[in-house]
Order: sequence, then C-alpha cells, then structure tokens
Amino acid sequence: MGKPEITDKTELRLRKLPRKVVRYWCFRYRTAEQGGAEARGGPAGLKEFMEGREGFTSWSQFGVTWDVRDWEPLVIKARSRSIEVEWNTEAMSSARELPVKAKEV
Amino acid sequence: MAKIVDPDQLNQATEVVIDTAGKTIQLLVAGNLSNASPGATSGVTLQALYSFLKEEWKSDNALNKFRFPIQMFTKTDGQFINGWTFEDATSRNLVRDAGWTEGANEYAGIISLGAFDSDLDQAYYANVVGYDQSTTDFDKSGNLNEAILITGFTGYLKPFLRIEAKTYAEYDLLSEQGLALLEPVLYRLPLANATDLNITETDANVDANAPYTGMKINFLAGTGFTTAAATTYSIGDVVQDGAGRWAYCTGAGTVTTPGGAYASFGGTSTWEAYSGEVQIGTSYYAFNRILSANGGTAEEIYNWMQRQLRKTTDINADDSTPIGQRSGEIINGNVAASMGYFLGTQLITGAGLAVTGFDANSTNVITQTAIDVDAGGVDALTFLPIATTGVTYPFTAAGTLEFSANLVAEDDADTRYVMYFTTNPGGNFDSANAVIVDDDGGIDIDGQITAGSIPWDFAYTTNAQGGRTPDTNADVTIVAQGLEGAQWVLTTYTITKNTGQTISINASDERNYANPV
Repeated sequence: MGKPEITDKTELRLRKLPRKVVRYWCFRYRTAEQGGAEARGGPAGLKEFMEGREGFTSWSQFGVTWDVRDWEPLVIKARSRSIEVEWNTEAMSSARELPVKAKEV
Repeated sequence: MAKIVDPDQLNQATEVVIDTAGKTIQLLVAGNLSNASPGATSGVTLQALYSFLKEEWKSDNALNKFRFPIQMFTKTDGQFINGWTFEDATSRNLVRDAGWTEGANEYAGIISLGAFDSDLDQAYYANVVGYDQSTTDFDKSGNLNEAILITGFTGYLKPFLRIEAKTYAEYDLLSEQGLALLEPVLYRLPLANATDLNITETDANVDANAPYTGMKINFLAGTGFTTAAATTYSIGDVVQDGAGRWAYCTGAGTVTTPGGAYASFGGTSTWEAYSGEVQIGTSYYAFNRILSANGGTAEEIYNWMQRQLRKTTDINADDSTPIGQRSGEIINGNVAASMGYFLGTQLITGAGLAVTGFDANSTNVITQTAIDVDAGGVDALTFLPIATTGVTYPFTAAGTLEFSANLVAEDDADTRYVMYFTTNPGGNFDSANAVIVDDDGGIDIDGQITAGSIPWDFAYTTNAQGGRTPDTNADVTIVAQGLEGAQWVLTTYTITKNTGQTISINASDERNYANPV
C-alpha cells in the first residue's frame, strides 16, 4: 500500500497529529460504539477520515483486527492478534503456574 | 467495553488526573475507562497506567520535574514510591491484573479462572479464618479481576461463589496454592458456576415449607477418632471400642483394658456413647456433623443444604444430646463447609457429615462420608476430618402394591394381603413351610388392604430368609383377598435391585360368598 494522497486541508491537519493522539481517539470511537462514553472533542474530521481509509471495518474492531501504522498513523494496518490477547498472553506468561492439589476422596 | 491494556487509551484530565501537589494519581470513570461489572472486561491494567505515566513524565514538562510515582517489579505487580498514592478508592477499584503496595497498604489482585454463569453473580470472600466470621463482597459482580486490600489479612483468603440455584465454588487460596502469606501481587484462582439441575426449590419455599422447616444440622465436639488403647485420654476424645461402637470421653484419665465395649474400659477415665455414631448396615461409623432430615428425600436434603450455605446467620442447631457433645460453635452458613453434592443420582455428604431420618426411598442414593479411624481425627481449625470414607447402605428394593378397586372397597378388616417367596430353601409357596417375605425392617409383608397403593421395601443386599442367597433377585408371590367384594387372587413378581417397582393385584368381583347372620 502506498502513501495516502493528501487531498485537502483536513488531511494536512490530521497528518500533524501524533500517533498517540490518533490512537487515543480511535479508542474513544471504539468505546462510544460499544456503548461507553461519547467521543466528544476529538480532532475535527478524524473519525470520518479514518472510516474512509482502506482496511477500515468498524470501530469495534480497532485494536482487534486493525490498527494504525507506527510511522504513518493515518494508514491502517492489519493486526494478527488483538491488544487484549497480546496483553493477556504477556501477563499470564509472567505469572506463575497455578498449583493444582489433588482432591481428597 | 474493554479492559484498558494500552497506554494510548489514556489521556490526562480525562481518564487520569495527576496531582503533583498532593502526589496523587486519580483514575476517573470517563472516556475510555469504565468500572462496569464484570471486572474482567473493564478498568485499566497497572502496567498500562505505569506505561502511560512514563510517557507523560517524558513529554510533560510540568511532570518531569517531579519524582516518578510507581516502580514495577513485574508486569503485574509494583509499588507506589516517592510519596505517591492513588487519590481514592474508586481509583484503586479501577485497576486490573495487578497487585501493589501503596504506602503502608498492600493490595492483591484476584483473577478468577473459569466462567461465572452470569455477570450478575456476586462473589464474596472471607479474610479471617473461622466459621463465625463475616464476609465481604467483591467490588464487582461476574468474573473477577480486581484488587483487594490485604493489609492485616495476609494469612487467609477464601473467595466464595454461592448463588441460588447454581453450583457452588470456593477456594482457599493459601492452602490450595501452598502459600505462607499473601503478597501484594496478582493471584489467579479457579472460581466458576453453572445452573444446578438438582435445585428444585426456591429459598422462600425452603424457608417456609415442610419437610425443610423441620431439618437441622448439629456440629459435634470430638477429637482423635482412634481405636481405643491402653493410654491416657482427655475430655472430648472419641474412640472406637472393641465392639466397634464409638464412645466420647467425659472424664479425663486412663484406659487400662480397651479390648471390649467402652462400658467395660478399666482405668480412671469415663465414657458415654458418641452422639455422632451412625449404623450403616451392620457396622458403626463416626461423624461430627449430623443433619436431621425430617423425612426428606435426597433431593430435598440437598436443596436444604444449599440454602443453608448462603445464610449469613448461625446454622448450627446446637441442640443435640447429650449437651456435653455439642460443639457450641457459631457456624455462619455462607462460610460453612460444603454439606454435600450430587454425583449423578447419588448424594455424597460432606466430610464427616451424616444424614439421618431421611425418606427410606432415598436409602440407596445416599453415600455417608464417615470419619476414618486412626487417621488424624479432625482439623482443629476447620473441624473437618483429616481422612474420610464414603459408606453406602445395603440396597433396599422398594415399590408399591397396587390393589384393584374391589379390594380397596372392602372393609379393611375383611381384607388381607401377604407376600411369600415363590421359591425358597426354607419352603416354597403353596407348601406348609412357605416363607413370608420380610420388609427392610424385618417385619412380615402381611396386612390389611387399607389403601389402593401400599408401599413395600425389601433388604435386597442382606435378606437371607430361609437360607436364600442375599443380594440376588427374589421371586415372590402375593396373595390377596376380600370377603364379600373381591375373590382370592395370586400375583407373581420378581423383586430386582431397584426402587419404584409396582406390583398390580387385581381380583375378580366376588359373587358367591355369603355368610348370613
């Protein structure tokens, strides 16, 4: 996938957003779609812009099946595992084995 | 909603407020951060918060000039440092997948493994040993993922999941995982439930209706549970004497001749019959919990048991005799040990618990879990036996005799039914030595026809009348008659190792009998 074309002033403005800000608001849009707090006050045009990008499926899938590139946060990349699955795997690998005691009969 | 696991899901002043003056971190239910139940799918991991703070400390000049607030030891445990704390309890309740130290306070993270049947199922925990202790609800219902304060309570933690009409779960964290003390880290433990198909009554019905209202449980005193020996005993010691009976020491002292019945013990100690003794078949077994079933069936008993285990009040009737053998302990139901469970159709009682006075039709489906002799007695803290053995009763076949209307309509005094062995070494039916079948209590099955349906039972495992072989099917012949209304009738049947056996006896109408007065 090549660089996205810069077509208007909105995208120019959005291109200046740090990846952290883009991802924060993508998570807010996801939260809102899942019934959480409304996503008010985000960068103007970001939601609509991302919804038009190649690879966008739904906001509920952000962090699950798609994410944004590290160096180009307005470009969508596919995820092989959700961030929750990655965390759970990581967290559980650092936790010790659950001891199992034989049940007395 | 989802658990926050990525620092990019957090933003200063929305989800996180950092107060450098007060040195507090406040988490707010706002933006991406939710505190909804279950905890497994809300909140923020401590690692995500820590990572967020690191990024903020790097990029925010207003923060960079202050000492950093948190040190992580692993991805799932850390400590607040440099005088920092959480702002409030809400902030702590929002943390997931972690335990931590915060000043003098320690918090352990608790994650349940397995699935709760419903997000509304509320688990609770006890953090002090003892059946008289109160419990604390977890902050959220459903699958657990939250931290609890363990300061001052590092020696015991037992979460419970006991929901009406669902299977129960509990887990003694320290003993099950071999821990000496709780630490401010993350613990995972199995805790799950599902619909309990053996619960058929509501709490309201169990609390209000017979036979439940007549049921009770007594927790008994007693230690040791050893074979009587020539030694010194203390009050409260329980022994099995040379006759196989159980005895309770009422006066400390010696036993010098332990070989016979306890009444014949030589020495200075004194003894009385142990009230936790129950005869099963021809042997005697010891128990330290006696559930009086008030004629209830196994299913009714189980319904009552489970109801008691969710009461926050004392469930120990403490009215057994003799008084001196009562435990006198307060046993709050919601922290009491399991009283039993169903394995298929079999009700297995809890360790050291005997059910008495139950419906005879349930005899074959109850396994009593007796205290093993010479196996360590009972645990001093839990009062539960160290070792137990499941004991079943000799099988009692049972069923009903169903009589035709003309037999039932006759005056009772003019009727009779008798059950004989069709074939028997002592004498077959239709011979002078014919043997009448005994019921489970050893009484002849021989009586008046007082109802259309008359129950019967038979000691299938042990009946050896007339020299027959016990524990085999029994061919029987039932004869019945009236005088003026029903003719003499004979019915044959084979008693098998089952309950619910129906034997129909249908007599023809009597048209020829006459006894003029």
